[in-house]
Amino acid sequence: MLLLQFIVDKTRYVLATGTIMEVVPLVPLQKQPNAPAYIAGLMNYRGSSLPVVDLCQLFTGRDAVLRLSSRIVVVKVALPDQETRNIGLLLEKATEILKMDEGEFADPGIENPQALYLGKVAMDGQGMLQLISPENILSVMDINLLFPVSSGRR
Amino acid sequence: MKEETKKLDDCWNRVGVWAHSVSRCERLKDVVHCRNCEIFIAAGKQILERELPSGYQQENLAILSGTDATSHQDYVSIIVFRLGAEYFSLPASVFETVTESRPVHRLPHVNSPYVKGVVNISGEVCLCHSLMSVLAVDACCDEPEEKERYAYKRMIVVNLDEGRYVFPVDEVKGMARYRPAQLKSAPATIDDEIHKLIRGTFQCEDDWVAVLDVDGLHRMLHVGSP
Repeated sequence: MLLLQFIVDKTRYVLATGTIMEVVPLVPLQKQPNAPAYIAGLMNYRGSSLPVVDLCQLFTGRDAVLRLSSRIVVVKVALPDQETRNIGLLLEKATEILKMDEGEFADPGIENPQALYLGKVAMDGQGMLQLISPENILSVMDINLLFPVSSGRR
Repeated sequence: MKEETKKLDDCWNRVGVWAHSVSRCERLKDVVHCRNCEIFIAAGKQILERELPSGYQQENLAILSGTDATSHQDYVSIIVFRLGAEYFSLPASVFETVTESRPVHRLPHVNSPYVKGVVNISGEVCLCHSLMSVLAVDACCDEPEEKERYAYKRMIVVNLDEGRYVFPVDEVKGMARYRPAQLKSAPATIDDEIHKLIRGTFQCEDDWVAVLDVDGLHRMLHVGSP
């Protein structure tokens, strides 16, 4: 499977490319006052508004540093009611694509209900990397905040 | 950020392949060229760790905010080939393969003017037709440069409506794309029957390329008229 690697504070994480719709460069975001800190803002994605989640803020509590290597990854996620929506993930150092076998990933042996998005781990020459499941990022967050029932959600 | 750039050790310029000195890096024995070396790759990635240039985000916004009206679906991919001095093309989707020129075995008593004979395409016997005679192109040319270009002769294998056809061509130029709106009608001076085989022409780099009509060509070879 193909994986997009990103780095948060020297720790390597990967996203399966199958979940990724598009990787886009940084654009100005519309800040959302009083929203949780991990909501980086709203972006204009081909004419529609897309909420962007700062994974750096979600993981470590600091804002992602905006460098040329920082990217916004548009992923498709399934809401609990089976509807699918796009969200943007703001990633740092998202510059590398890795090719690994699914069998190389093993259970991490720790399950934190606060961080269900942390998935299986794999090891390679440079150390360890952990799979992030975008679906579970949402379950940690307030879904009703991002996708309110009033805006077309049944 | 500036400090990081200062710290960067450009060993590829000191002892690597771009160095003028005699002493060579030990790693070169294994990696042969600096571009295969981890140090060089890691240094290259540092370029992406720069701060955003001014206007970078706004520029991306201009690209991303558009609704992408001219999608790639509007384009038609074609493969351009040369017959004599003229360029023709067929949709890339009908191509099976392009091979080097092979001997054509003539068939006696075939009365179709277009059939040249049979040819061996990866073990399979295929009918070989002459597009030149279908399109009435002169084999040309007295120009001396044409002789040098003899080496470019190829055979294209295309699948027209479930029928496999092999055509010898003088050169395969490569792939190109056009939008149907770009097409201009072929010159009125050409023969009426051949006119029906050509959907239109468009300018590709410096040459005018005629886009052939797949259905018309198939009928022409099968029935004898477009």
